[in-house]
Amino acid sequence: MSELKINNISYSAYPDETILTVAQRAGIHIPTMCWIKDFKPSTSCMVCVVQDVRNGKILTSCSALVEEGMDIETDNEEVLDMRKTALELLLSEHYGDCEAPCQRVCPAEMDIPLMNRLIAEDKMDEALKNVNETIALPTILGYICPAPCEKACRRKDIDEAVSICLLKRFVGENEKPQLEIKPKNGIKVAVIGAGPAGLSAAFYLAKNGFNCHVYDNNELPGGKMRTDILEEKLPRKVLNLEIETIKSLGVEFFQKQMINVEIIKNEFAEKYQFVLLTIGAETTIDTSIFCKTSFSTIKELDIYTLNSVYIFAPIQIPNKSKMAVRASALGRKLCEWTMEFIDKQAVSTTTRKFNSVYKRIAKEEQVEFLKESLNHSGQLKTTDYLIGFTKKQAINEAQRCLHCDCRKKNDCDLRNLSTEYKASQRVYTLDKHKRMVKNLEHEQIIFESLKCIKCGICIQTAQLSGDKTGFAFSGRGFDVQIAIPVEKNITELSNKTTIDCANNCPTGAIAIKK
Amino acid sequence: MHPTIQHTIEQIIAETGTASNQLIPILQAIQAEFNYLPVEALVKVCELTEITQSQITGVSTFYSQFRHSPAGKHTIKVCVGTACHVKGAMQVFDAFKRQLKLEGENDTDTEGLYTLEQVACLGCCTLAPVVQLDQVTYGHVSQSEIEQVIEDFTGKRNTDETVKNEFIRTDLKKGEIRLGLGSCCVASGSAEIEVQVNHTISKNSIATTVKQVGCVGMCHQVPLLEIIEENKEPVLYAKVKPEDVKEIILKHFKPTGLGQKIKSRFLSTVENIYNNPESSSVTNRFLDVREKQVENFLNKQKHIATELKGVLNPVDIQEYKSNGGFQALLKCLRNMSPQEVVEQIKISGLRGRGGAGFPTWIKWDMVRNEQTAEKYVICNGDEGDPGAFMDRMLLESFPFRIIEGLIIAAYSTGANKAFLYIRAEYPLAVKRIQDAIEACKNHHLLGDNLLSSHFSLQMEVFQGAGAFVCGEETALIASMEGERGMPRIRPPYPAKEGLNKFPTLVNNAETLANIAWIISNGADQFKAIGTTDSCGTKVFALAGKVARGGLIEVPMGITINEIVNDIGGGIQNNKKFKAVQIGGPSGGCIPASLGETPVDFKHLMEIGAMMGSGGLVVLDESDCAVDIARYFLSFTQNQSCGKCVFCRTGTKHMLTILERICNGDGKMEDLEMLENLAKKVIKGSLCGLGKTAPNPVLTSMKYFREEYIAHINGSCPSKKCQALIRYHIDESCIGCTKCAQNCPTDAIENLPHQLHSIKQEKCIKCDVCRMVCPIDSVKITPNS
Repeated sequence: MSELKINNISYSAYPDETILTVAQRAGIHIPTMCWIKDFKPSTSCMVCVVQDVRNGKILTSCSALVEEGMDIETDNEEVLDMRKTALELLLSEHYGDCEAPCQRVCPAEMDIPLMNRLIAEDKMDEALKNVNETIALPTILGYICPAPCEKACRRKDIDEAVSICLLKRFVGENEKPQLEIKPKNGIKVAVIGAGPAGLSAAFYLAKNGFNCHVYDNNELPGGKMRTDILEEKLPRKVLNLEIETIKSLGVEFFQKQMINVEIIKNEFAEKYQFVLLTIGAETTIDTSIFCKTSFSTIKELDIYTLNSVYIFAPIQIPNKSKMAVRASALGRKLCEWTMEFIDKQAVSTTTRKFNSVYKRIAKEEQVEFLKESLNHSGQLKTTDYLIGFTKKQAINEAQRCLHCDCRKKNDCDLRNLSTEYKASQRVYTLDKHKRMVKNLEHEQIIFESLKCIKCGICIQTAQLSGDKTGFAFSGRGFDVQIAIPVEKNITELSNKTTIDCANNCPTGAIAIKK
Repeated sequence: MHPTIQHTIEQIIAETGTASNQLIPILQAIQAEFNYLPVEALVKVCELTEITQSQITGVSTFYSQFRHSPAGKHTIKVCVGTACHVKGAMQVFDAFKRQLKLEGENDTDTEGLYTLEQVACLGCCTLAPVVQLDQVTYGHVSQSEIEQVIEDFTGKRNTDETVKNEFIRTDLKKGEIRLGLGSCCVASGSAEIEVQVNHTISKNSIATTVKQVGCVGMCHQVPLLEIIEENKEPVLYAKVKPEDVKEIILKHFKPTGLGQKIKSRFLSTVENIYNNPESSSVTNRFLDVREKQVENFLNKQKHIATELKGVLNPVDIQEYKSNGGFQALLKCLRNMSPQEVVEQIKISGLRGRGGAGFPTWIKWDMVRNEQTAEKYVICNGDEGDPGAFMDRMLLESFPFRIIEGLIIAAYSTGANKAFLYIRAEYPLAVKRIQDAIEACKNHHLLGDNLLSSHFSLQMEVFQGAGAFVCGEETALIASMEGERGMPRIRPPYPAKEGLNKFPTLVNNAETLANIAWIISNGADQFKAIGTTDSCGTKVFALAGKVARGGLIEVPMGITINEIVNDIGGGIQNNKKFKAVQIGGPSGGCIPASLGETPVDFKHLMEIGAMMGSGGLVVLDESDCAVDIARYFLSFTQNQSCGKCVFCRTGTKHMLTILERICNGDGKMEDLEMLENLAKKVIKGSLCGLGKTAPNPVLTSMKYFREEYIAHINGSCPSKKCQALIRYHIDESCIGCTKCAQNCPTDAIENLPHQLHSIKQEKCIKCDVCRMVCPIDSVKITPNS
C-alpha cells in the first residue's frame, strides 16, 4: 500500500492503482472524457489532469499510477486552466453544430430538428410533445412568431429555409397535447399578467405540479396577443384554444384584477410562496418596498422577499407583440428558476449551454448536408396563410430539414465540460477549415469523424465485441482520424458494435440515429 | 485478386510468420516489392495472419515510409533537414514542384516518372541543400539548377547502369589508399571515386591496398581520399572528383609497366586542376581544394565512440579485433559479474546520449533486478532529428563497437535477446549491422554460450518505418509490437514492462558505443573526461553556416565558441555568428552572446536548450530566428503521434501563430498566447516529443524577442521571411538577361542590354534571379 494525499487528505492505495481510481473511491470528482472503466486508458483528452504539488507536474489521473508520498490537487487554478485549454484545443478541431442554428437562435430554445424528424416520420403526437417541452403556445406562435429560426436555417445556404413556423403550427393545430403532469407539490404561485410570459409560466408551473393562479387586468387572458394583433393574423379561436389547454392543467385565471404593491404585500404574502411578475410595460409594480435579496446571481432576474413570499422580477420583459416568443421563453424560464430556487435556495443557471458552431456551408459541402435531407426540392409555398399545411405537405416540408444538430447534444461530455469550464471555441482557431463529412450509411448510427476527439474508445469497443470490421486510427498527428478500416464498409459493423460505440463515444462522432 | 500479389504475400508471410507483431516487416516487404501498399495486398495479409483490418489501417497510415498510392518510377527526395533548410531547401523543393508541374497534395508527375518527397534528413548536412534522385545524391543544389539536375540524372540512368560497386583488392605492398565510405562520402560520389581508384590501380598495375573506411568526420570535405605511403605523412585529398583520381594516385604510386609511365607525364598539370576556382555548374559542384589533414578540426576532439575513425574498415571483424575489439566483452564474461559491470558503468558517470541524459547504470540495474523468463536489450538507432546523423555514422562506421556494447549490456542485465532498431531510411547502416551480426555469429560472439561462456544471446535488426516519435522508448517498443508508434505512459517503465511486457533496456546507439571503451580503459578514465556532471564525450553533427562541418566528438564541457570557431573554423563567407541551434527540435536556439556556455547536460538545460541527440546547426546573421523556430515546430508538429491533445492540437496552433508572425500578420497578443500555449504543451504532453517541442520557440522568443516584434511590425531583419521582403533590381544591372531567362514565373521581362525590373505581382520570391545574377544587382528589401 502507498500513502498519498489528495486535496490535502491522506489516502491509502495499492501500487497499481491510478490516481483516478483512488479519487473516485474517495468520492472526489475528476472529470473524464476518454476514459472508460476497464478499458485501456487512452490518455488523450487531458481533461482528467491533476497536479502533484510536490514538483508541480501535471498528471493524467486516468493513467498515472499512485506513488508513495504524492500530494495531489484535483482542482487548483492551474489544473482548471489546463483543463479549460485542453477543451478549447479539442473544440478547435471539432467541426459541427451542437444545437442546430435554428435552435441556437430560437428564444425558446426549441429542439427544432427533432420536431422536424418526428414530423417527417409522421409521429405527430411525439412532435407536439417535443415542442411542448419548450413552447407552451405552439399554435399561437405558429401564427405570429417572426421565426428567427428560419433566418438561421442552413437550408437557406442551399435553397430556402425550412418552414419551421408552419410546421410547429401544424402539430399544434392538429394534435391534442398529451401532457405529463407531475403530482401536486403543494406550492402556490401567483403569476401577475396573462400575456405570453404569464401563460407560459403558468403552463410549465402547472405541468410541474405547482398550484398556479394567474392575475390579469384585462377582460380576457392573452395580453397584447389579444389586444394588438388582428384576427387575420391570429384567429381568436386559436388563442382561446391554447388558453383552454392551460386551464385544463388546473391553472386558475383571475381577470380584471389590477394588482399593485399593496395587494402583494397584504394578500399574496400570506397566500403564496412565490409571486412571478410577468407584467407588460404599461403596468408597473414598484418593487422598491420589497427587500432585494442576493439569491439570484444572474443578470436576468431579481428576487425580492417580503415576509415569507419570494417575488421573482425579471429585469426585462419583452413587451412588443412580435416578441411573443421571447416572452413565452421567459415564462418557461421563470418556472425553471422557481424550481431551481426551491432546489438550491439560489438561482444561478442562466447562460445557455456551450454551443459548437459550424461555419457557413461551402458549396462543395452541400452534398454532405443534404445526406440527411429526404427532400431535395425547394420550400413548399402554402396557398393560404391561414390554412397552413396539410399533413402530407407537413411531412414533405419536414423532410427538407438538414438535421444540422448533433444527436448527442444533450449527452455529450465535450459539450457538458465545455459548459462547465466556460470553454470557448474562439480562443484557438485555424485558418483552414476541414470539410464536413457525414456518414449515414449504417442503419443504426451517424458517424461524423470531424467531431471526434481521437481517443480510440470506439476502436477498443469494437475489439471487445469481437467485431471483424471495427474502427481504426488513420494518419498521424494533427491529421489523425478515426476511420473504417481499409476496404471495409461501415455497414459491415454489427448493430451491437455500433450501439456500444455510440454509447461509449464521448462526443457526437458516433451517435445513434433518432 | 492479382495472382502475383497473392503469391508475393504468401512468400512474405512464409518468411515473417503470421504473428501480429510482424506487421511492420510485412508492410516493408510489400512496399519493397510493389513500391507502395496495394489494398489487395493488405486485405490478403489480414486473411493470412493474426493482423486485423483495424491494426493494418492504423499502422500503415502512421509511418511515413508507407505509401498507399503507386510512386513514380524514380523518387526525388529533397532533404529539408535543418542544415538544408537554412540553405534554402524549401526553395529547391518548390522549384522541383514547379518543374514537375505538381499541384496541391499530388506528389507524382502525370507521366508517373518522378515522385517528389521531402525527407527529414539525408544526413549529408555539410553538402546542403541535398537532393537524392534514387541512389544518386546531389549536393549544393540550387533552385536555378533543377533542370540540369534532372538532365544529369537522366544521363546517368542511361549510361551508368553498368557501373557496379565491385571492389578489387590487391595485397598490401606499398602503402594504402583509404576511401571514406560513410553516407556523406557515398552521397558526395565516393562510389564513383571507388570505381576510378580500382580502375586506375588495375590499369596501372599498382600494388597497393585499397581500403574502405568509415566516416572520417570531415564531411565538409567529402569525398575524401587518403593516401598513405610507407614512411611518409599521410596525404588527404578532399572533394575529389572521379576525373582527378588517376592523377592523384599516379602522383604517389609509380606504375609498374613502361607504357604506364609515359601516360603519367601529365602529372605536372595536376596541381592546376586542383586549384581551379569553384565552378557553379552541376557537374563541378564541389570545391576543388586539397589540403593536408585539417589539424584544427581534429585537435579539440576526443574520440571514444568514434575511436579509430577513418582508420577502421567498418565491415572487417578481424581488424576490429586486432585493434582491441571484443576485449571488453571478454573481460566482462571472464572476470566480471553482471553486477560488477553495472558498477563500472555507474562509476563512469555515463548518461544516455539520446537526449535526456538519464544515468545509464540505473536503467541497467533496474532490468538486472527483474526476475523474468525473458529480458530484452534494444539499441535505439531511430535517429530522426532533422539536423543530425550521429547514430547513422556510428552504426555505419563502427557496427562492431555498438554490437559489443549491446552484448555487454545484455550480459549485465541478463537479457537473452537483443535488437537494433534502425531507421529504414538508413539502408547502409542496416546492411552494415546485419553483416556485422553475421560475422559475430561466425566468430561465436553471438548465439548459445558465446565465447564459451554460460551466456547466450540472439541478436537481430528491426527496421523503423519513419516516425520521429519512435525515438521515444515506449513508442519504439509499441512499433516493435506491430502497433502505431504511440508513446505509453510511464510507469511502468520499459525496464519493468517493456517489449512484449518483459523487462527491456533501451539505450541509444551512441551510449552503447561508449561501453567497450569504459570497460577496457576503466571507468575512472572515462569519468576524467568531461565535467563532473557530464562525463565523457558527445558526438555532434556540426552543420549550418560553419566553415568546416562534419561529425565531431568532443569532451563534455567544451564551449560553444570552441566548437564553432576552433573546430568549425568560424562562420562561412565572413558573415556574423548569430546563434547555434543545439539539440535539434527538442533543443534551443542559443545566441552567440552565450557562446562561452559549456556544452554539458546541466548548462544547456539552464539556458533552455538541451543536449538532444546531437544536432548542432550554426546560424549566421542571414538566418531568421522566427523562421528557425517555425521550422522546428513544423517538424515536431508533423511528427506528433496525435495522442495527447496538447501536442496534437497545441503545436498546430503554435505553428499557426508562428506562421502568422512570419507572414507579418502577427499581433502583440500573439506573443503572449504563443508563450502561454508553449508552456501548456510542455506540461500537458505525455512523452518527450511534446514536452520538448516548444523549446526552440521558447528559447528564440527569449533570446531574439526583438525579431518577433520586428515581424509583427512588418519587417524581417534577416530578410528571410518571404511575405516581408521584395526583390528588385538596381541600376547596376548590365542587361545580361540571365534573371529573365531563369525566372520561373515571367516576372522579369527579357530586355537585352537594358535595365531589368521585377513585376512584383508575379514574383514568387524564389530567389533564382538573385542567385543567377552575375553582378549582384538583385536586391532584397523590406516589403513596407
